[in-house]
Order: sequence, then C-alpha cells, then structure tokens
Amino acid sequence: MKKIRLFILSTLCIITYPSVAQQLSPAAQEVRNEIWGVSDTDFSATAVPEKWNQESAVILGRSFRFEYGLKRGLREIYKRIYLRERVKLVDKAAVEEYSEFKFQQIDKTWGEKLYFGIKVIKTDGTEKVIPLSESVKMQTQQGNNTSYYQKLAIPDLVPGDIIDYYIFSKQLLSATTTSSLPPRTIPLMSTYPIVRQKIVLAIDPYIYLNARAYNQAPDFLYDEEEDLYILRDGNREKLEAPQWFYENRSVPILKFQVFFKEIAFTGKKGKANFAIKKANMLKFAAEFPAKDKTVTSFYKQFRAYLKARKKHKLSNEEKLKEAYYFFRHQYQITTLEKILSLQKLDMKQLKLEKDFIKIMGYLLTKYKIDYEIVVAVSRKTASLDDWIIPEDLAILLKVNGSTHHFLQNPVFYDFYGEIRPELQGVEGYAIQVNSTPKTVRKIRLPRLGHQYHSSVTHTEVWMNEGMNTWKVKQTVTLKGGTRESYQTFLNDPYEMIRESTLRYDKTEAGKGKVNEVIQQRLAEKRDETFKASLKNEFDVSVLALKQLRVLENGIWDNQPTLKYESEFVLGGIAQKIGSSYIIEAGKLIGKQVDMKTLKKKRIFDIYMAHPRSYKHEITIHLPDGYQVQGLDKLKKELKNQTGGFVSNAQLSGAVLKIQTYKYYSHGYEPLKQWGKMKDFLKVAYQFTQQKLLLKKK
Amino acid sequence: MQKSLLILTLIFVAGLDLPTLAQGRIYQQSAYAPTTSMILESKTIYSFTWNTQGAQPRVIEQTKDRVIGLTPRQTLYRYKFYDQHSKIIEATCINSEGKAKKMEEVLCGNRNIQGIFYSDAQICRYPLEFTKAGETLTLNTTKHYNDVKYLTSIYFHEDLPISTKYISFVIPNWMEVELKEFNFETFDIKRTKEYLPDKQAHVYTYQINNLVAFAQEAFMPGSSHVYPHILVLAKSFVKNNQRQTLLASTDDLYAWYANLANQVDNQANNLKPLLNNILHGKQSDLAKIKAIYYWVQDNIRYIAFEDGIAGFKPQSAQKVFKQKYGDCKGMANLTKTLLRLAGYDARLTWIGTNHLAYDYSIPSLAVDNHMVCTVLHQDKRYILDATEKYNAFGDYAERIQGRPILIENGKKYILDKVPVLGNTRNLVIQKQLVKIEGEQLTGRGNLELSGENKQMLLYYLHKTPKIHRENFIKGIISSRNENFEVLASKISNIDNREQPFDIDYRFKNPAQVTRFNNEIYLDIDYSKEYKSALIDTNRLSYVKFPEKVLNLSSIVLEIPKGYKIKHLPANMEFMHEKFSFRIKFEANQNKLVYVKEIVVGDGIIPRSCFKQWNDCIIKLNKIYEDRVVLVKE
Repeated sequence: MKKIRLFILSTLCIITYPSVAQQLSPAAQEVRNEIWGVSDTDFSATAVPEKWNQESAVILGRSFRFEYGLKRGLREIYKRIYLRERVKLVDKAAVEEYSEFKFQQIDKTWGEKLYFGIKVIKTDGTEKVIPLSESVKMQTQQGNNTSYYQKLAIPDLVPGDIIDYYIFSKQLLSATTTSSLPPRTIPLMSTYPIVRQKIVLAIDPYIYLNARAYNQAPDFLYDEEEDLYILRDGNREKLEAPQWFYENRSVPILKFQVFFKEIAFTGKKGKANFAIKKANMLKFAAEFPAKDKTVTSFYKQFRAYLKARKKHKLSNEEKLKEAYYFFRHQYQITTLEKILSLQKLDMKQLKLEKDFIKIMGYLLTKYKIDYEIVVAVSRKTASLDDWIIPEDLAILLKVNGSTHHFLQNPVFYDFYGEIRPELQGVEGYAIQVNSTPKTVRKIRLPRLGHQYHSSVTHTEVWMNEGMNTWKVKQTVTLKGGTRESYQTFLNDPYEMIRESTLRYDKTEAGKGKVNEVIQQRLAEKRDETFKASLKNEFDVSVLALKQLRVLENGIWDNQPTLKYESEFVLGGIAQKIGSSYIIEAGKLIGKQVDMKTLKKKRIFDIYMAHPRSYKHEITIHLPDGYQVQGLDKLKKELKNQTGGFVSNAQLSGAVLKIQTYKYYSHGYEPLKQWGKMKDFLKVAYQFTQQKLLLKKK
Repeated sequence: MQKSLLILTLIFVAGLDLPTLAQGRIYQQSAYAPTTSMILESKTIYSFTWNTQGAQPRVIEQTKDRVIGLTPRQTLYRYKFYDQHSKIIEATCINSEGKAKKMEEVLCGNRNIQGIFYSDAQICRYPLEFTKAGETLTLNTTKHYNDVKYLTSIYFHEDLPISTKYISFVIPNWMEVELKEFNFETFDIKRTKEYLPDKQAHVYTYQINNLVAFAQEAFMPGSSHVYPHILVLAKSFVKNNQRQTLLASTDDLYAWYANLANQVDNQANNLKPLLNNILHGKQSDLAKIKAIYYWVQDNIRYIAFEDGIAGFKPQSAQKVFKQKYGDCKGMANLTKTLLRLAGYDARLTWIGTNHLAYDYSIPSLAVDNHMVCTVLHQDKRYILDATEKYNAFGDYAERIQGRPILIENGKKYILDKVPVLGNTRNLVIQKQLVKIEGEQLTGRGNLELSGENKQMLLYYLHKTPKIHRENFIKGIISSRNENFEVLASKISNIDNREQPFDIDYRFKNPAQVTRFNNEIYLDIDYSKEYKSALIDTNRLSYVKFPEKVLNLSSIVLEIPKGYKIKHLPANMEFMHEKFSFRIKFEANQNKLVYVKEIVVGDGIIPRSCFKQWNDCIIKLNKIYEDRVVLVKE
C-alpha cells in the first residue's frame, strides 16, 4: 500500500471534520485544475523505455513544487507544496503495490489543507479519475481530538495501467514563532526507475533559501520570467541500497531549507544560496567567544567542584580535562538513568553542542591555551563543499596546547580527545576566534587507521568427549569505532553512573541510586541479546551462556578499550562420521560478508564507518587420541590496498592454534576498488567454510 | 458472520516455508516477554436484559479486572473492543484504596487488522499507570451488546497471565440461551449454577485458575480448536407470552443469511459482454464453468471488508466486476451470477474454514467466516472458491477441505461437506543427478510441487516483481543455502494451475564436498528438511502444518572413478500412525542412490505424539550430520 504521508508535518489532530466530501470543494477543484488541468509535457509519456520493460514499475514523470512566502504584512508564512507522480505499472507486483492508497484529505477554512487526487490511465488512453468518496476513514479519538486518515482501494487496476496521482499541502504559519522550516532532502532516485522529473522552488523576496543538488545531480536553473528555480532530471535507474552505503553521499540528491530570518549560513534575501562559504564562517564566528549565563553558571559549578575535590591546584591542561569529564557527567552520564527508567530523554537536561564550545572556549581562554573552533560535517551527510543545511554542522575545538588535540561535545561514553569516527579524516573550517580580525582556513581532521579501530578476540575451546558440545571462553578487546555499539549494549549504565559520580560529582557521596528492578531487567536483556548474537555469529546452537563480564569499560581516555569476557557452550560444530569427526573450525571467527553480497553487482562507492581490523587468536584443546587432517586449509593470505585477510594454524600436541587477521585499510573505497575488496572478503568467507578432520589414531 | 478470508494471514504465518524447504523450522512455544504484570482477579458478568428502546433483548457486559504491576513506573495498556452492534458505556480505573484514578490518554478508534482492508471493529486502549511494583489497579468496564446475536464466543485467556477468572451469565427465565463449552477437557474449570428469585434469573458461573497469557504458537490451529471458550447461543425469548425466536436453529441462521443475500441487486444482464468474452471458444459445460471460475480468480483482487451488515451481505456482481476487487462474498456472488447467466445452477455457499472448530449444528454467527460458490451440475457439486488464487477446478484448498457447507436452496438449505483430499495432492518430488568435480558437488535437479505448495508458490511468484523472479526461484531451489549456486533454471506451468509446478536446474555447491588426503566427505542432502523440527513439548496446542505432507526425494551420485564407498550414514525407517520418515542409501555399481520419503498423513502431530516425533527428528539429524565417505581405491 502506498502511504501518502510525505507532506504531513503538522500533527494529525483535527477538531472537526466534515464527512468525506462527495464533491470536491472549490479550493480542492482549483488545485486539481492546476495540477491535472494544464498540459505538461513531462507527464505526457505513456510508454516505458525498452531498457526498463522488465522492471516492475517505471515512474514516467515526477514533479515536486515548493512555494514559500510571507503574507498579511509579513505576519504570516505560507507554504504551498505538491508532488505529482505518474507511474506505469508493468507487472502484478506493481499493481499490488499501487492498489491501495493511504492519504489525508483535509479541507478546512483555516490551518493546513491537504488534497489528494488519483486517476488511472488505461492502455487505450482513457482516463478514469478515482472518486475519493469510495475511500474509507480510519479514525482515532483521544479526548476531544480526532485524527484520521483515509484508505482507498483503486478499482479496475491491471498491469499496463498508469497511475497518476498528486498530494497537495497548503499551510499558513505565524511568522513571529517560525524562523525556519525543517530541511528537505529529495533523492533523485527511487524504488522504481524514473524517466523524467523536475523540482521547482519558488520563493518570494522575503525568504532566505539554501539549496544544493549534488552527487552528480544537475544544477538548478533560474527561470527569470517565472522567478523560480527549476531542476530538470531524468533517466535514473531504480535505487537498491547495498551494504556500506550512505545515500547522502552516493545518490544524486537535492537538499534545501527555507529561513524567514537571516542566519550566519544564509545568503541574499529572495535569492537561492547554493553553497556555504568561508564568508559564512566568519559570520558564524561572531558568536564566539561568548560568556553567557550557561558559561558562567557552568564555570561556577566547576570551580566549586575543583575546590571540593581539592583539584584547584591541577595544571591548566589537567583542569581542562577535568572540565570535559565534569561536563560529560552533568549533562550525559546522569541522564542515562532517566533514559533507562522512563525511556525518554529530557532535552532540557542536555546541553547543545554550541554550549559545550562556548564553555570549553571560555575555559581555554581562561587557562591561556590557544585554540580554534572547527566546523565540519559528518562524512555520512556530505563533503564540506556540498554542505548546505546549516544544522548538519558539527562544531569542535582544536586545542593547540602542549599537545594538539580536538574536543567534541561528548555523547554518553565519548572520552577526552577522541573525535567520533564520522568526523575523522573529513575537511573542516578552522576559525581563529580570538584573533582580530578572525581568520578561517580549511583543515583536515585526523584520520585514524585500522590499527586504531580494532577488535582483538582470544578464544579458547574445550570439547567434550562426544565433541558435540564445546565450552568456549572468549576475551574481546575493542578500541575506537568498533567499541561504540558494544559499549551501550554491554556496560551496565548504573555502574557507569556510579563510576562517574565517584569521580565527577560535586561530592563523592553524590546521587547514584540504583533501581534494581531496571538493572536486573537490563542484565537479563543483555544476556539474551548476547546469546542471540552468539547464535548469529557462529550459526550453531548456543546451549548456555555461563558468564558475561565487562573487564574494562572504555569510557576514559586513559582506558580507551572496552574489554569483556564471556563463557558459553556451543553445540553442533562437530559432526560424527564413523569413528572420525569433522569440525567446522572456520566458523570460530564468526560470520563474514556472505557470498550473496559479494556476488551482487555494485554501482556505488563503498562508504564504511571507519577503517578497522579484526584479530582472532583461537586455541582449541583437542581430545586425546586423534590426528588432525586439513590444517593447510586454514592457512590463507591475501592483502591489497583495500585490506587483507591472513590466517595461520599450528598443531602442538593436542592443542590447535589458529590466528586470523582481517583489516579494512580505509573507511571509504571508490567503486573501482570493489573488486579488490571482494578478493580479500572472499578469502575470509572461504576460511569460515573450512573444516578439519579428526581421525582416531 | 464477519466474512474474513484467512489466506493472507495464513501465508504470513507460513511464509515461504514450504515443507520442501523446512530448514530452520522450530515448532516451539512462542517466546513471551518477561511478565511485568498479571491479572489477580478477573470477573466478567454477561446479563441478558430487556432493551425497551430497541424492543429486543440485549446483553450488558461488566468486567472487573484487578491487575498487579510487577515493575515500577510502567504503563500497561488494556484493550477493549466494540463495533456497530456494541458500545463501551463506561470505563474506570480504581486504585488499591478504592478511589477512582484518572486515565490519561485513552485512545479509541478503528482497529487495523492484518489482511483486512476495512472493518468496523473498533478498539479502546486504556492505560493503567503503575508507580510502584506490587501496586494493584482495577479496570471496570461496561459494554452493551444491542443485538444479542453478535455476542458469540467468550474466551478465558487474555494477553496477560490470570490468577483467577470468573465468567458469569445472568439469564432471566424469559430468555432461552444455550452455553456451549469448547476445549474444557484439559482445563480445570468449575461451574456453578444458582437461582436469583428476585430477578427470576439463573446465574451460571465458570471459574478457572492460573492461566498463562494467550500465545500464538508456530503451526497452531485456530484458537477455537485449542483455547477453552464458551459459545453463547441466544435462541429465543418470551415477551408478553409470545415466544420469539432469534437464532434457535440452523434454519434461523440460514433464513437470516438468505434474507441478506436476497437483498443483493445483481444486474446480471450488465455482465453479458463479459460472459461472452469468457466463454469464447469454450464448448463443454465443464470448460465453461472452469473458465468462469478462473476468470474471477485471476481478475478480481481480494480485498476484505467487514463493515456492519456489509460484513454479511455480498456486494452486487456488477459492482465487484466494475471495481475488479471484492471480498469472498463479492467474489462468490460474482462467480454465481456469471454461472447462472451462463445457464448453470450456481448457489452461494457459507462455510467456516478449518480455522474454526464449529459446524452447522450450531446456530451462531461464529460458525462460518467465509463464502464460496457451489455449482450443481449433472448430479455433482463443484465448490468454487475464487479467493484461492491458482487453485485448479476440482481441487480444494487445505483450509476448506472437509469443512461443512451451507448451500443456498430457496427456503431450505442444503448441508454438505467439502471433499477431503489426501496428502498426494501436496506431493513434492525432488530429484538430483550429481557428481563430484574437484572440491564441489555439481549436477542437475528437478523440483516438482503440487497442491498447497504449488498454490502458495505461484501466489508468491506472481506477487514478486518480474525482475526478481529468477532470484526467487533460486531461493526456492537452494533452500536459501548461500553456498548452493543455481547455475541455470527453467520453470514450467507458471500459468497452468492444473499441472504441477516444475523447476529444472543445474547447480554447484562447494560446501557439500570436503577432501582430506585420499578421502572425500560428502554431505549428500543439502536441503535437510525438518532438521530443526523439534517440538517444544510444553506447547499448548498440537502441531498443524499448513498442509498434509508427502515429500519424496532421490539423489543419484556418480561415484568418481578410482573411488569406492568407505562409509555410509545409517538407513532410517521411522513409522508412526501419524507420520513416517524413510531414508535409504543404496550403492549400485558406480552409483550411490539416496532416497528419502517424508509423510505427515493429515498434516497434524497430536500432543500425544510429540515425544515420538522428537525421537524421529533426533534420528533424522544424526543422518543429516553424518557424511558419505569415499576413499581412493
């Protein structure tokens, strides 16, 4: 079922609703005339290009139109937007997909208006407009508020038909309370191939518009006569997201945002701004350094803490680090409890990135340490040159003290001096905020290699006599980006709160009351999830999880690794064949990228979270009286620019030792390197398929 | 009768897990979340009263559920249902001190039911907010059934565990009600009966203790086969010394159904051009009937509507034709109208699918949930279910086989049953000719599917975008085994529902062969059906597969030159009255023949057979894990 929710930004609550109109209101009719009434060459095609005739459906035409302006003496903002799509349904699967629509039709005298229209064009060219009166209403009531949507089953729909539909939204907003609208992203690729498409942006002279089309998207053209910007595009294959893929970096895409007040990153009023430039940085830098209430109040608390903990005699650089962890404790660690028990985050308790920068900037000046403010954009979102949505920015501090390092607003378990992986190696603007005049330069943030983002696993295996169950003890050490998800999963948050409180609360006694029920529930859930992950990793049954223990939590810069130990029992890794056994030794390094992924044709560059490495040291205690065959199958090596897989195995008495090392050299590889990546990934996969034969001596 | 077609839910449950590809099936009790609350005591009273306004009896349902929260700071949502024939009059929450507690954010609205496009079923969600562990809150609700025939089945189980549950019926002397009990045998349910002279009514009370929460288990038959429940049959009442029947017998039920069916204004003449088109070139009667049946199957999209009386009354034939969609009633009615227009004796036919445990001896709206069309032709009855896509004429889907049917017949109905077809209907044949090439197994194979398996496969295949069909077929052949590489495949009978669906393929699979020195270890059967089919013996219900099972496999291995057989896995013959597994390895000159036969005769494993079934699966797995060993001569 197609869910038409694209434009629904406001709440779904409606006070009164006249029953579904049999006839369109004049306003709805006017919209229909505007969209369907005028002949549009972009929507005249009926045939599918031959190259796509095996596709399920093809979008023959797609059009977005966005209009923004101010009204009534600039007191009201109006936005008027619509999408029209004309889709050829080639097979039954597409008919199924488009046979039911969910939509909203709201026709009120005030507030938001939403209109929907749909028609079917048969192969002989006849057009049938589907009456919305045939729809059913799905309603929810809460107190006096009723919200609803409508469902429409499209009659007489068969392969070969064309569906032509639109969704239209018009809304008035108060200009005093609205300074901008949320940003919009429109990928130029869709679930089905697109023959032609256009996107129109129209703003009146009072509006600021930031817009950029990138990743090989065509540029906007300005139509002087109509005073609007138009992007024309077409001939796009359908989008199928592969592994290691950031849509924002690979797919031709349009992003834009409208503002009703000038900010540092906007351009000229009434004109589209297609790039954020150095000049914008200088405007932005005007906000810094700042000594506002947040700064002074933090400084007051921090001073009290230093005094209470007798740390006021520390060196300035040490104090800076103390301030970082004090900040993390106050605004991140202590919120964990609320997140856990109430399952919601109190935004008021958090501090904005800007606050962090202001506070730390103030302290750096106070402690006479030179610094710059760095503005960068996550590599998941855009390159610095393609950055157009102001809120996508990340702000860091580059500390130029006795050592050079970066500081970033901490999120939960981030620690001092580490930049989050999505910002490692990206370009940024470094701004000298304390110099006059302020200066801006481009820099590249440090890039950490696969040796840093590492996972080291020691596995020791004991088999029982029948070899049908294996006792396994594992110690895993994770560093850099590899630890992040495991940290939130494995660390007991109450333990983290207690540890942080001991060090960074104003008094050691501090808060830190443990809700044992929640703690217990989290521990049970942790064990369950861990068991499930073991089953998934080894692809065999997990008979028991005997222990799961965090040895190092990896939340401090002087203890950057997450280390945990587990003991469990696996079944089904060995098969009895007569008096011999086949053991699937290769499985012990866990699941690797599968053949299905490796065989798939790839058309996009490879974006991974970061470079990384996985090391396994496996010791298997074999039962007495057996000889091992097939050891050579476990010895593999393939290395190239993109990464590698190396493995080795030795037998010493009844102890079998296996070592493997797999690494990805970079967090990004251009498409042309995919073949090389596949080479070492295939070797890693083949390793997992290797078996050993234990034969009675 | 709410006509809902179950095929969609059925398929979702069964997924693509064709029995031939039954790897990874675990027939266990569904996992349940740790209990964070339970009902200490639940009391529901159904009182039959006289509704002066409507001048007919009605039922007032009063529930009182005392719930304990076992963890602090939690919100527990309780759900109550209503529709066009019933209304929730009141809902209050009482704390442990007996004081009313305001419920924030009570939500009521249309209920989204999977597989149903629109239904008049409404739902209210009441939040019970517990601040402390051990706190108790009581939810009291009052609901009115304004038409007593819509109060049908009442279950004891709920979505929470229950310590004690009481269900009472207050039935005044002027009201004739039968309480029909189902699945009481394995549960300890106490019944009491008392007379209230002041109300001139009997009170029937049922009590049950220690109930687990309602759980959906894998391969579970419909709830009515498993869970204890009561069907309420409101038969008649006496008012002003006049006895008025409600639904006292099947005659009454039929009269009501037939009355609704007769109200449908079918304008058959509008369908003449369509009929001419369908029958073009068809000579024999059976060819004509078949053509009409297949046309409705292929051209009318199934969309379920359950909207008040429209849940029981078919849409007109011309409307369904125009829309090209309809529910089972609409499709049955269009089939009937076209057939009658073509001169055949076609009748609407009410039926309860095998999801339901009832038959037409029970006069209740709960006995059926589906509608088909019956053609009476030359002393034979053909039952046509046009909602069953890719079902051949004369074939019957598992869900309707053996089910009682109520065929329209003027003032009086005809009772009959859908024929039962054996497991040969669902025959699956797998054949492979294989050889060892280097470190991999290569060969040719053929997979033939019939009956339920074929129908399900065709349903999904046609739903799959053309461009992905090849991969879909590869997935079927390889049992989604990633090392099993399908090199080429050819399918037959994609558009012929009357023949088995047939796939020819070539393949290679390195994972099936391992060489150690002068020996080759071969895993001959890659598909390993029923490998993970151990049944959790604690489950509540018996196991009911989506179909009766008959799977035959044969794999012929060409033994490489210079090699001989060193070791073969054991043969197996596990015979049981409900199922049998047979595996045989046979060496014949330079060939090794592997034959496997799996039978689950009626598709059902009763609870009493769980142990034997599990013993059999353990034995089967020993063979699956073993290898054929070839050694250099």
